Amino acid sequence: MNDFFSFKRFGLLVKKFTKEHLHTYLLLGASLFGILLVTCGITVLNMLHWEYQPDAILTIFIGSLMLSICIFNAAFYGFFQHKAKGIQFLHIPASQAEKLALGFLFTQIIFLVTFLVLFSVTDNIMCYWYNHFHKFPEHVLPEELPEYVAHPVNFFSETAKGTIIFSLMLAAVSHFGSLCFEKNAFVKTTICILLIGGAIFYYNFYSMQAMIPEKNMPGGKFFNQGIRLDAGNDLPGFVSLPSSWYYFMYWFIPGFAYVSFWMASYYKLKEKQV
Amino acid sequence: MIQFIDVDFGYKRNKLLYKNLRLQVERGHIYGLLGKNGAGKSTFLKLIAGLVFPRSGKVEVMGHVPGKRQPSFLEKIFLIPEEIETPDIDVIAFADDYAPFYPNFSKQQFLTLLKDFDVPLTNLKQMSYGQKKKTWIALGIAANTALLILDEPTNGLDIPSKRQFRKMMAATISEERCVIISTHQVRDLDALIDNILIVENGELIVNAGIDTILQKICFRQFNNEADAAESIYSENNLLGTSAVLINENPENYGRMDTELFFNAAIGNKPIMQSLFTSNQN
Repeated sequence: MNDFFSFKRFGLLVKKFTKEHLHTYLLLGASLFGILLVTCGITVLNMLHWEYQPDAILTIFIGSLMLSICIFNAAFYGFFQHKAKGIQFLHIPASQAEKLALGFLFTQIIFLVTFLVLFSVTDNIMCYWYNHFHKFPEHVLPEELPEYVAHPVNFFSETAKGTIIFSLMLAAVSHFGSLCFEKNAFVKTTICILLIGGAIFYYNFYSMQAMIPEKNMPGGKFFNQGIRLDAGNDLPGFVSLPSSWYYFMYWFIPGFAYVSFWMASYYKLKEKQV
Repeated sequence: MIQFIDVDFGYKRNKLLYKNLRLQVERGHIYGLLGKNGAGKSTFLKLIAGLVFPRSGKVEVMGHVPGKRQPSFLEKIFLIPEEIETPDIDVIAFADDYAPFYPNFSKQQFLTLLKDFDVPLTNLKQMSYGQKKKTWIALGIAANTALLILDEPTNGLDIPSKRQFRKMMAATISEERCVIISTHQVRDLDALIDNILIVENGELIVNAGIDTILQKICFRQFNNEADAAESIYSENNLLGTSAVLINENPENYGRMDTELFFNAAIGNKPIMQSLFTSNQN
């Protein structure tokens, strides 16, 4: 018997889990749609007498995706709060890899696709609403007219892609947090991340200071005081990475963190006791 | 079937609940795991089921290490915890979701058991706690796993259901199967179990079959307390004094009084432990 991964068992697990949680997830989806509609609606309402500001909608996209994916991931294993549900989950005859894959499917793929669909629908409704109901102020010049036409957020833009990548990385962290903390997983994970992040910056600063005395720096400051990781920056005092390093880091850091947290989740699930 | 070799376990590192636990459980029996509230019964069952891991020592169940929770192990064991949770789905759909995970699951048997238990074929949301519990018990029996573990199964069951439960459990046992039932309501298991495990303060006081117990001790009722002076344990009740004595004539079996035996085990631990756990060490 294959004790590591069986697609048949995984399929059965997905079917069982979906049947048991469908109502809850539909309700969550409806709530998310409602929140997006209200948030985007209020924003667009404020724009009706002005030019369309795509950055405002993009900000809602970034904020809502990051927040919702983190909350959903952090709550995914909330059933471990109830011992009976935790026992049922751990004791169903499926391997830890199959149970983790179930979490991956729901928290990463299904959630992201659902979010993008819901946001896209909301965004298109808002664009339609703005294009039909806004009024051009009298002083508008003809060359400014395109600024009064709403366009949906382009999910393939650099910012949107970066947001999705970063959100998935945060989701992996939150998912791990959900396995580590049974109660208030989101709050506890956030506190841990802030503490670890602070410790890394602190350590980074003092290790840099130990290696290169600050007085030797051209601008007298280290780059990490500006919390930036950038390429081609000519500002004195900032240590910029070579462009090849920059692009390497761009995918390597989130990728490494993503894989690491999913591996950590696997072992955490394997060692989970109730 | 189940082997505990020098198992240490504690939820906190510096406070062990079980120390050097040695135990062997065989197929073909119904074991009653008895103990007071908080004695460690559920933890003991969780160690068998691989839901908690020993700090040291080894637990082996049907050749598997339970803590690994491999599918090949999990499909041979069914655990019904004390507190149960059910999704808001139809009872048949509930069984259909579990059935493919257990190769020997019998839907026909499940439906028969539900009928015997008088459980309606409706949505689990509409059921009472007792009916949900009976659904889980029926599911556990119908899964036909080699090992069935029930933690306080009679909690929440009404009196006719308790009787029905005993009947079903007696019918389900076979040479290849082992059932472990934990309870602190000793009377619920009377005339059902054929082996007794008693835990107290993280120690295994008794691990013996009913036959062995009755060969070594007997239960007597006296009118006067003074007559029970020679007993291992005695307690006064409305009828006089009930006492547990060493059986001088092992050929002559008496009737088992599980509740009195349990009280004796808790009340006179050293003697009972020496009589009934020596074979484990």
